[in-house]
Amino acid sequence: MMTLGAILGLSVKSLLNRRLTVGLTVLALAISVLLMLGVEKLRTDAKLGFANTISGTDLIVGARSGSIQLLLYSVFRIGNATNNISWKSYREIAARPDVAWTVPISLGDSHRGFRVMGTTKEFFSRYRYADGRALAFAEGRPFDDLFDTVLGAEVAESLGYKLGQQIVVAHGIGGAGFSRHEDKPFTVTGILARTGTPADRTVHVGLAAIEAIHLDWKGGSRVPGMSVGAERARAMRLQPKSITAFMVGLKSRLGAFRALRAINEYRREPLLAILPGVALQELWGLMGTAETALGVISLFVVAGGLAGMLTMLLAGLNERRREMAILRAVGAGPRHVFAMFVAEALVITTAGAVLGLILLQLGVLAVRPWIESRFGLVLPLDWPGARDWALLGLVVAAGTLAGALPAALAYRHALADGMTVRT
Amino acid sequence: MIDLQDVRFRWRAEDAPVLDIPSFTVTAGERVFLAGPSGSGKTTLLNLLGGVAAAESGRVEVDGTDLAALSGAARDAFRAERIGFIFQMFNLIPYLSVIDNVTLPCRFSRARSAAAQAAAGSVEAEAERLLRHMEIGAPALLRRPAAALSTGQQQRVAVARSLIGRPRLVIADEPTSALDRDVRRTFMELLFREVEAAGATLLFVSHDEGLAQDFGRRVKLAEINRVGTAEAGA
Repeated sequence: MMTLGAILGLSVKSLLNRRLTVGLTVLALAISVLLMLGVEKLRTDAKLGFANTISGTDLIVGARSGSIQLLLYSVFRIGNATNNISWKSYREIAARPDVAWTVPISLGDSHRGFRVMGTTKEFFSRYRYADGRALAFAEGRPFDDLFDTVLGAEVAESLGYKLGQQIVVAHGIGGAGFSRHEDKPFTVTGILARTGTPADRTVHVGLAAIEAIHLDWKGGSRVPGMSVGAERARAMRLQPKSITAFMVGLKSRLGAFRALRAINEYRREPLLAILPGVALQELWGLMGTAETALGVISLFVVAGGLAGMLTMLLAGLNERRREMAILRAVGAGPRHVFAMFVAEALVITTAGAVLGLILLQLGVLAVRPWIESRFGLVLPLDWPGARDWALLGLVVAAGTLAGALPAALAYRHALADGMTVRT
Repeated sequence: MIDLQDVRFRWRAEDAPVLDIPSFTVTAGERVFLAGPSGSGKTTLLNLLGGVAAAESGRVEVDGTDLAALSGAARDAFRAERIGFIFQMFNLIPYLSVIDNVTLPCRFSRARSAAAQAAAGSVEAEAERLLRHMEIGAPALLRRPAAALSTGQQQRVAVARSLIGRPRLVIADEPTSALDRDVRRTFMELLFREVEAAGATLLFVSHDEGLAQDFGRRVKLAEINRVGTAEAGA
């Protein structure tokens, strides 16, 4: 319709005339939209990154406890195992015909706040993350000698370690090494490329090394008068009696549930096997509240932005009565005045939404190298998804609807004032 | 052109009537001076003629159309098409350019837009022509916001706007009261010349009797409005 186009044209000119206040309102809206979309993006991408922590492993087996607890200590290196599992049980399960490979892990020691994990060389080829990405070495190679160590990217970076450097592992995870295995220092032979997984924060050593540094320890403290030197340790048979957990790859994923049941019903020792994907889902579910809270906060911020726009439109209402009277004199009806105010709200919210989207893309472009190297989260620079468009549409719809309030008031003014404003 | 019969108007049912006009007519092509001090129901009468307000009873006929028979929206469309208004001041939308102010009625009336195009090829060209005739032709002025103009210039722009697209009726409400004496003289001359050129009927409302001599017909609002006389008598 001709007049509707005319109204939109007038709205835009009127808004341009008030470009400072309108600009600030648009900016406020854009920032709230940026926050909303940013939270949404981080949420989906973090969820994806989280689910990407481990892949390619069919089962994780540990001592019987909770599945989330097992996942936390074996994959995220958070918390402690309540119990170890015996080497014998491990070997038995590893020998099952449906098992393709196993990687044992042994936890309990630390180095300056980072967990030390004893494992086999196979860990570096078997551990997968994201869509089956393997660990890569930024420098060096896997451990070979008994007292070699491979550092996660974060460990090397934050402590400034280089290849060939000697480090000492502390007993326990209490932090500032009150009891250190200083008689058996490790040599850094490899540094892993950053993955964004807990591997970045782990000091990897051979399983035998864990045995070796604990030869002269018993029950968490040094055995008085007993000291086994590093060279003597080398000569000993360092077969662990127990490990913390182990990762299992099956020959066929279809057999996962059967293997799971068999391990959970293992008679010689109470074991727990979990499917990492399922446990990750459970863990993410626990964080659902935080996720919802973030979403709710960003919605409130958007509501704040819209309230700001409403304030601006309402504040200008009285000054613009004359403008409305002129429009009425040249033939505008009260409904045109209504449409003009709604159109202004529509233009402002659309501009805010578009600017917010642009800011988000620029922001992603700016921080993604940092986020990727820092947290291993790959933020894809892609077009907003259906959910984002729905949210944007919702913002524009809510803003336009909110514009109905000043529009209704302007309508009443236009009706009462007619062509002349009595002042 | 204008035919009022037994028109009564009051703002609210419990108020006293503001207007009670037994009869008032203006024929097409006439130039009528309507004298009325402020508060005599003048604004109300203009709102009735423009179809912004509706009479409580009686007949308000403008250009052969009974406004009472039209809906609010139809009266708005009617006003857009048939009537050009010039007010005392604040005629222009400050943020629109001079040209945009003049072409404003064409945004609301297809007929006036078409007439302007027929006259000069485009709405803008017609606006420029009218502005030239009103002696605001300097191209530099045309694109400037209306707020940048002097009051005298603004009033002349308002005349150009009231005439664009050749409406049948031009209603001027105290258009000169904000102007200086000399400017007033020129303004009246330009107004008469252009209204005549456009072939429009002019209803000129003012309390300045000094301007009345140039009009073919002079009417006092108090003479046609019974409310005014009743109040004066009380």
